[in-house]
Amino acid sequence: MPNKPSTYHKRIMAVLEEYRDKEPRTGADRRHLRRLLREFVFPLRWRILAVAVFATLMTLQPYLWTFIQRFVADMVVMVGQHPSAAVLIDHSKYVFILLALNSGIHIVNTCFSYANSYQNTMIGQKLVFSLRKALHERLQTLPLSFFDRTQTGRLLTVVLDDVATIQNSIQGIGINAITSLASITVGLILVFSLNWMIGVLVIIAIPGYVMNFRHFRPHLRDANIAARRATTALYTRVEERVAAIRTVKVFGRERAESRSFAESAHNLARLTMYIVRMSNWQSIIANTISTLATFGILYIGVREYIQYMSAYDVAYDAAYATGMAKGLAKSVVELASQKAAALAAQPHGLSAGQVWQIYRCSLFLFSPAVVLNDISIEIVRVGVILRRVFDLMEAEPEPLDQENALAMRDAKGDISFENVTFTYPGDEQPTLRDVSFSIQAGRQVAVMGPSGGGKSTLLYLLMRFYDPEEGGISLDGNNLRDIRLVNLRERITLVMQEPVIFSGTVAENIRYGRLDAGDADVRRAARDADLHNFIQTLPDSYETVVGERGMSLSGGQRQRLALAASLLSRPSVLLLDDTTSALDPATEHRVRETLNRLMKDRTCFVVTHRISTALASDLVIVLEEGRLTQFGAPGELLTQEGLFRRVYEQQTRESADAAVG
Amino acid sequence: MSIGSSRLQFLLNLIRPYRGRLFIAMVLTMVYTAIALTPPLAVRYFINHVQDKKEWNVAIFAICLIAFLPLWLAVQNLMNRWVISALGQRLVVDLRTGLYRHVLGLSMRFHGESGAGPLMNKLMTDVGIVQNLLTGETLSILSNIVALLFSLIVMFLFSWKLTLVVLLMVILYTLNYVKLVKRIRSANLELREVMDQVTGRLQERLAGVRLVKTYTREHDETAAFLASTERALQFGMRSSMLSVSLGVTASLISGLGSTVVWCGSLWFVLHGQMEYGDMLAMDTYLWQAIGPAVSLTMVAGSITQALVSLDRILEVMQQQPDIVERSNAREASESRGDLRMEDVVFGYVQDQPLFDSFNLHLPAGKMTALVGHTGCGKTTVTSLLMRLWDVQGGEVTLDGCDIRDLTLRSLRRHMGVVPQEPVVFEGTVHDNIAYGMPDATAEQVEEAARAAQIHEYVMSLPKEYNTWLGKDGAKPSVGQKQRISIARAILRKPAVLILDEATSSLDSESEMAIQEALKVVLRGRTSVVVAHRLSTIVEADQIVAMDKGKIVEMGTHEELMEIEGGYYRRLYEELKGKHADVEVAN
Repeated sequence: MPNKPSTYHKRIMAVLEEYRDKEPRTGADRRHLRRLLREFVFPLRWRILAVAVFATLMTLQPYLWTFIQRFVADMVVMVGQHPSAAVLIDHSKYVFILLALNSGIHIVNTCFSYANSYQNTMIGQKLVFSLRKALHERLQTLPLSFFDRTQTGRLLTVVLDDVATIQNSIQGIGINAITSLASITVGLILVFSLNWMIGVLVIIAIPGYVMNFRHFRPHLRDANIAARRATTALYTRVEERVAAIRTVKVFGRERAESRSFAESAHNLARLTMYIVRMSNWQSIIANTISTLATFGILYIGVREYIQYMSAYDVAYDAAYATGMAKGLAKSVVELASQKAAALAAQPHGLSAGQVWQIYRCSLFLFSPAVVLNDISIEIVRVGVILRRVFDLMEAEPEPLDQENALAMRDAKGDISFENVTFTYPGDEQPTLRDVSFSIQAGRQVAVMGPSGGGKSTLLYLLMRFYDPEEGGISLDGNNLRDIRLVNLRERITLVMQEPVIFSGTVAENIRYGRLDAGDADVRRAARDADLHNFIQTLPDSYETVVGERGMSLSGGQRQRLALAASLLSRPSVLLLDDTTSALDPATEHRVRETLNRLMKDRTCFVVTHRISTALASDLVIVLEEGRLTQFGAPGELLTQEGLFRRVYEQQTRESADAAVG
Repeated sequence: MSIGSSRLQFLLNLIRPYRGRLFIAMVLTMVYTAIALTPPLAVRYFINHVQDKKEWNVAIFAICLIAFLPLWLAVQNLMNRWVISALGQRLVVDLRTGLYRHVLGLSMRFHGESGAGPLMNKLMTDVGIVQNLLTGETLSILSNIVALLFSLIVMFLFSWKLTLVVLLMVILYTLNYVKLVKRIRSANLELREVMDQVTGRLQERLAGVRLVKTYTREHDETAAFLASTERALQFGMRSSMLSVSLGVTASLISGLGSTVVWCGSLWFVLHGQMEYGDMLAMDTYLWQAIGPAVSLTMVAGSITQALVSLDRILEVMQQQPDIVERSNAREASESRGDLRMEDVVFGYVQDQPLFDSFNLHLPAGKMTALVGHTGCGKTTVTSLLMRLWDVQGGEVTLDGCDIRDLTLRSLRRHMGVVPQEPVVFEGTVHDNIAYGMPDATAEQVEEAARAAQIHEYVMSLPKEYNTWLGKDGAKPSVGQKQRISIARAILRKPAVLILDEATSSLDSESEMAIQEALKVVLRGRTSVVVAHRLSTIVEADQIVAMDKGKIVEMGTHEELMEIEGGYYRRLYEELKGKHADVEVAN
């Protein structure tokens, strides 16, 4: 038993450590914060000012209320003290005045509160909009190498979640800072003006109260993050194992799996209890401090009150005696003496209403102090998120067009590579090494070679997704870098190996190639890609929704859809990255015929594994480990020793095998 | 059994071990709530007595009461929370573990081909909601009722007229809440839908950034994103402002109501019908009556949601595994690996048999390749052999013994499986290979890894066999995953090896490595290969060509190629066309 708590504690600590937030907390980067304020917050300054004014006014309402209560308390107590006074002064009318006054305050406050929330929400939404706008605009200018090394999920988190967090924090920090400061200032002034001793007591108690939160907050935050991550890990694991249920069953691991799951679930439960225990301690300490403070305030307050009442009684009696001695009427004496007594008692203690007011006001001071402390923690947290947002916003954009970049409306399609070498960022080995060739417009070029040889990269460089490290690529004799990027990509089009289909209608997906294309053009493109007949069988024909939210298409259908989009864009140079691999031989043949017809005067690069396709081309490029090893007409290459002939022999032998059987 | 009673039965079973604790928690909650309502009475006592008598000893007593009662309450509340959280956590662990164990025990009919993973993830969240129903909601209903009744009674004793005003206020307050909360919920739902669209589109375009760039659509994409973001923000604004309206109206109702009550009690005090202390207590109880009234309406909503979660869990918990061991099942200690399917009748859907009187012999130590088009039943054969499903007629035998007479563990102990899509779990390489034999030594694991041709790759990893896959910067390719999965299958030295070849094309290097690995591994074992690759098929001792649940042809490659216009021969041609690409690189 004695060593149980320690192993228990160790287990909790182990879980905590495993899932701790490991992101370095370096604090808010001032530059980021400044940029955020200058570019995104400053334009909203008038709205922010309005919110600040409203919020401050609303903060004052509870204090106003304490004044009313103080007035009422004193009034009532006076009546209780000297019932005769009630007869003289009809206090009842005050009830109606107070009713009107208090209702008025509530209605005005409601209006303020609504206006304030409206402006505040508006500020938040505008901030989100401008941040997302800036982020998205930057994202679209970033080069492909950026997307290669960044996960889509991470980008989504920044654009959506992080921006929302910044909005919430900025909104919260602003309002809380203003109202807390206003509240503390007004409260302290009131408390001190009523009784300096209580003022000092409060000044001592508040830092203690805040220190307590300051001590526990970071631990609690860590533990909460750890608990959330442990939960996610647990869920992910369940999902993983259940998805692979065949493996679990075949290896007979059901029992062992539930055992180890139970162990993790227990650890998570322990961690949760640890959080409960810690927050319990936090609130016990906070309550003890506030209790002691309350006790002190009431102790001093009531002592002052008793002093006040004795002074009051003495003064009252004296004034009464003097008045009667002067032979004044009894009622006039009552009134005069009451006023005299109130004046006389002032320096000696606190009236009932004042005690009540000071007690309420001092209670208003504790929570804003904690809020101010939380703001300092929140700023650190926002700093980390701001860094992520601005890292993205300040990422290096794609090379801009040179000033005198060529606006190329049309192109013949002559292509040449001169000593092109290219290495992907982060790779050690170049993917293309010293590749040179030139091709006249209108040729069909087959690109062959083992996977990883650089075939796709060759096409990407032509699209200028990346710029070569060394050497140059030219279109119609112009270096690609000298052509305006927009024009270049209008003239050259790529159909990818695994085409992307966006959620939307079939027509929308085809029209992605050229937005202003008419329906007839879209249909013609679909026919050319041998897709029209298939589309006709779809429930809504061209308006059928496909992609993630709609019908799923087979690989071959996707390839043809992408091909249709590319044909619609009428490029001078068409790049097909193994785009017909998923088609059955008959369809592929039909598509090829159409392509040959359409691309007769245009240049066409086809990455392929099939010898038949290569044999039908004008030229063949063979890439092996980034080097151009063979280049020439297919007939010519067959006479050479090399990969092309090996592939030729292998594929024809196989069909011969089949024939012989 | 009706749904209601089975729900109740389930919940009762769940809390049975903890009924004592739950009872204590309930009592503690009620006591706490009652005591928590007393401080205004202390203030009242203080005001009514001290103010008149000005006696220091009475005052100090009252001060102590006012100051220390909240501390006592806080401590009691914390104890309460401790008891309840501990109970809740135990329930969560029980429920989650029970659910997980149950699901793992269920047969393939439940899991389906796509797998129930995503469903499970959802269910695990449901567990938390159900636990909250048991500990949170039940107790909060209790304390809310106690608080509401207590406040109303005390106020009624002070002044029944003013209590009527309070009641009216509580009703208005609740009505306002009920009315607006529906609109807020639907506005939030709309907002979420719009946000989903924004997220979906953004995700899609980021993943398809090459296409965007190919057609230089960057500006159009930004414009579309901004348009949809703006729309989302309008919805966001609407839903926020609805919430604000709720809050503002509520505070107006309570503000005006409390003003009326307060001024009313002041009137009574001034006319000697009430004491000042009563007035202050009244003001406090007023607020203590409003809170519980709203909480109770909120609880009603969350109970409805919790019941939906509960039903989802129940639906799974009521599933029974259809593959159960017979009571007299025996251990299959040794196996030669001779498998037979005799007159097997089987279909995934009742009355739609895929197999009708299906016969197949897998001789010990030989390799059988199953070939045929998708849906012809190749994978089903392997599932039946492993008894992932039970036959509906006929029998499957291992070494002449009906596999239903064997314990599941011992049957599967003799089978090694390499699935079509290799499974690699979060964990170290060692753990992954030793998955079927957790007590395997490092030497055994290494031997299996060598046989599967993955040893060299593992040695190149930063922490070798202790590398955490997925973390530690180790991202195995599909081919490498497949070899890990092969190593896992052969570690137990199974008599039968079942292999579902991957259809997706691999890079040439992986392809060759896998072929090499298989040659070594398959030697001398009974093996069933759902084959997609020519090289595998050609080397099989026996090829079984299947079509629509029937065996069409059976024999060696040479024998089957003899058949003019035969099914296998046509299949072969087709495969060769498709796989020419892959072979190129070799």
